[in-house]
Amino acid sequence: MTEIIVIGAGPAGVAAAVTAAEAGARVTLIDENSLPGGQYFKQAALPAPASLPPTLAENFRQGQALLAGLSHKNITFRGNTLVWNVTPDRTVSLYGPAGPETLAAAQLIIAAGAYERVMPFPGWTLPGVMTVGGAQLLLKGQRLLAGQRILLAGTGPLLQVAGVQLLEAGAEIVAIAELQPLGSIIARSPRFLGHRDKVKLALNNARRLKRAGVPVKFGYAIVRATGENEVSGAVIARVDAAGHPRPGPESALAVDTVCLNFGFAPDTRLTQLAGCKHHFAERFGGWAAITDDNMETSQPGIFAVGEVRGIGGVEAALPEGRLAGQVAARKSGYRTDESAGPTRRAARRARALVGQLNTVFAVKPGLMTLAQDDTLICRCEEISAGQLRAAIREGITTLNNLKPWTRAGMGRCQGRICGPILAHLLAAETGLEAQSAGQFTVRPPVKPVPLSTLLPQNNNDEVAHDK
Amino acid sequence: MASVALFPGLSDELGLDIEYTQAGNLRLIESPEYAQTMQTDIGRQQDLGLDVRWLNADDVAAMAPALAPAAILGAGYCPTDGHVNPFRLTVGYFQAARRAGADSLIGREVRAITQTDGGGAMVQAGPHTIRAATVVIAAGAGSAALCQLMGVPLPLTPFCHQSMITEPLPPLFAQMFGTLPAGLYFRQTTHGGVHFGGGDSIRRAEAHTTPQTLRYMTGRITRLLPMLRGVNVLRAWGGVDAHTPDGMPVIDRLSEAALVATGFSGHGLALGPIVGRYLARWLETGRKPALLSPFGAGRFKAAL
Ligand SMILES: Cc1cc2nc3c(=O)[nH]c(=O)nc-3n(C[C@H](O)[C@H](O)[C@H](O)COP(=O)(O)OP(=O)(O)OC[C@H]3O[C@@H](n4cnc5c(N)ncnc54)[C@H](O)[C@@H]3O)c2cc1C
Ligand SMILES: Cc1cc2nc3c(=O)[nH]c(=O)nc-3n(C[C@H](O)[C@H](O)[C@H](O)COP(=O)(O)OP(=O)(O)OC[C@H]3O[C@@H](n4cnc5c(N)ncnc54)[C@H](O)[C@@H]3O)c2cc1C
Repeated sequence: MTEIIVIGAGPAGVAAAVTAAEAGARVTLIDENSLPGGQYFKQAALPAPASLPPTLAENFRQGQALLAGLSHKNITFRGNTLVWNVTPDRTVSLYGPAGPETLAAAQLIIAAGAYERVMPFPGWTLPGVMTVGGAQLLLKGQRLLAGQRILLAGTGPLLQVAGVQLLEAGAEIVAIAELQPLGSIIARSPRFLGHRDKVKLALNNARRLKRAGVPVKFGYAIVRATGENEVSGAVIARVDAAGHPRPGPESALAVDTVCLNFGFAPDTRLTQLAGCKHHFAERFGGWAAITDDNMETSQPGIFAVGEVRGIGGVEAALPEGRLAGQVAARKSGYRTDESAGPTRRAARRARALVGQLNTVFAVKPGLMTLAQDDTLICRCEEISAGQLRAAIREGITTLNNLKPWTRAGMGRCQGRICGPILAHLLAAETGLEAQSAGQFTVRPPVKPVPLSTLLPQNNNDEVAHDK
Repeated sequence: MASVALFPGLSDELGLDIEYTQAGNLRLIESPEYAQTMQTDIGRQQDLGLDVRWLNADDVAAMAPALAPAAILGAGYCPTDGHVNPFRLTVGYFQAARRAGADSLIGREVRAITQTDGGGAMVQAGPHTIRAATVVIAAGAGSAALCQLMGVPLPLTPFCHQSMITEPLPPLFAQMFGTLPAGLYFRQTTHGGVHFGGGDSIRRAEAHTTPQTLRYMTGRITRLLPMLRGVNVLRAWGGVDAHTPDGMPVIDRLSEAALVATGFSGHGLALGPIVGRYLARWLETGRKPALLSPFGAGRFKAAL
């Protein structure tokens, strides 16, 4: 039995592991990436390159400070290791360089992060259309530019953050198409008054984009991507308050890359497999694991921290990780002196801000009308919007019914990409709230693994069944 | 047998390809002690007029070269068996019912069924109330609770069955395979994935997988198909079915206004179409078809 297992070595998981280890507990930290750091500190575990653009250099410094804690003797880091199944009794199935393995944890901390949301439109499956995170990964990981002439489209502050990073790295940003009209962002800006540093950062980004002559188009959406074998053009258009394209002129842009981000969705696959309860709200980015003040889920001994609890950003992930690390160590019989009060307050404050951002930069239902009947929605199984709409007209109202009906969500990604889109499609077609579509039931393995991973590991597996 | 005769025409009848593949069923023998049992089984089934025969190891190898020859001693072979895509079968029937004029309410749980004064039934499904002359309870593992509501307790137990599917592969075989002793079945779907299941079904109402059962099934299938070891598994899942003490369904009248058809005990896919057909006849004529007489609820009187 492992004292504490932490799944996910992003800011939340690393903070949890370090805190618990410092309290004396033995921790196994697992990540499918070879290096710790997660989404935000992706490359910080490597020596910083000599010359880095200023925004990336700052990111490296923060990350290195956090990851230094992982050298604690109580921490075993297992990289390149996918957790493909978790059960409510805290059995964790691994697939990694050490071969298949099953571990049992006395306390389990799930810090699996989030994934990016995208919305479909004609041409969104063309090569050269990618997520903003994908472009950042190329930049942080391999110092590569995703393209030379880039359109960033979607909604949220990340578009401008990434715009500045790509600009610094030498790309031409042809335009940024932000779904929300500037007026509606400003009208809601008093909500951010208590976060002056963040507002300053945002204004700073806006100024730098302006100086570089990047057109930031508020109240616009990408309505089409064009090209033969890869993207060579994109069309953006004004949208109304509900997200429907307005009649009127469109702008055609010559681009070689389109980067999309429509916010994030918590990655709840592991907490769902573990049987934890979830709730839905736009301010969490959709479905998120429910926890108490100690970050413990509805399943005793299973904690959820960081993005899994709802999209909250790095500044929520770090204190939440520390909190879970403390509580899990205490439950394992170790004493911790850190007082939980300030940590909890820091997490709440960060969440309050990001929660506001998530509502201000919400996806709009009218965008679903962009998908034509022949636009693919489920890319793995190649299911089109038309096929899905036909099924919905037959009375389907939930993701779980749509799946066997149409095969959408049955492919390799198990609906990770199309799930949030399908929820919007159901809402748009039925007029019901997005949450009434429910979540896809998660089936193990969370990602495809070779069957050899599931071979019997000892004789017990035989005895129980050969009767 | 009546059910088998129904399947080949179903895609046409329903207007949707149910991916029916009729290439026979092989029940594989892996250890000598079961060869004799199989021979006896075959004899019995032949007496019933079923076309089944014994295949020796060479016959099996010739018929399904993808299987590991060393692992198999022989098989019982029934050439008329087949397999279908269960989703398409269900969707096909649903759409056909709609075309024939049936109304539907999906995503609503029935919580109350009451008898009305006029001899009909009143069904409460979420905010909807539906009145009908007859209600048919065919709610799988949910049937026990509904029959209880009607005041007729039935000895139904929920059992969870588990199965897995691999990533799509080039065509390997068209037949359906099982084993003796039971514990594993597999087929290749039209999509290309090898779909396999088995293990012990577990007595519980929750539809989820158990790592031990998944490992057991994997151990068994990779002995017969070693090439699968390196193939990705896409999905493992569990589903719950209502089981009866004798493994046969319950198809009977519960009251003046209610019929029940459930307790398929893990065989409802094969039996569903034929049972549905006879139920429809029953509703139409008001007379219970003789074929359904062995499935009365009365046979459980002693068990309750
Ligand atoms: C593209 C992008 C840009 C962002 N930009 C900003 C920004 O500018 N400012 C900001 O405040 N926040 C930003 N965020 C959010 C920020 O990255 C997160 O808030 C932060 O990383 C905290 O997340 P976390 O620790 O909860 O999860 P993550 O950092 O996402 O870490 C989760 C880890 O879990 C691992 N994992 C998941 N599932 C499994 C599994 N089954 N088996 C093994 N390992 C698994 C993943 O590999 C990953 O390393 C951004 C996020 C993304 C995706
Ligand atoms: C993994 C697995 C493999 C199987 N393999 C085979 C096979 O190879 N061959 C074979 O013949 N059979 C097989 N079966 C069994 C077969 O699936 C079942 O016997 C069959 O589905 C039973 O059909 P049914 O209509 O009685 O019930 P179900 O298919 O369970 O349908 C019942 C329906 O009623 C609904 N319902 C329940 N309660 C309520 C309520 N109160 N209100 C409203 N709706 C309600 C449920 O949501 C469900 O949709 C397998 C089953 C599983 C899980």
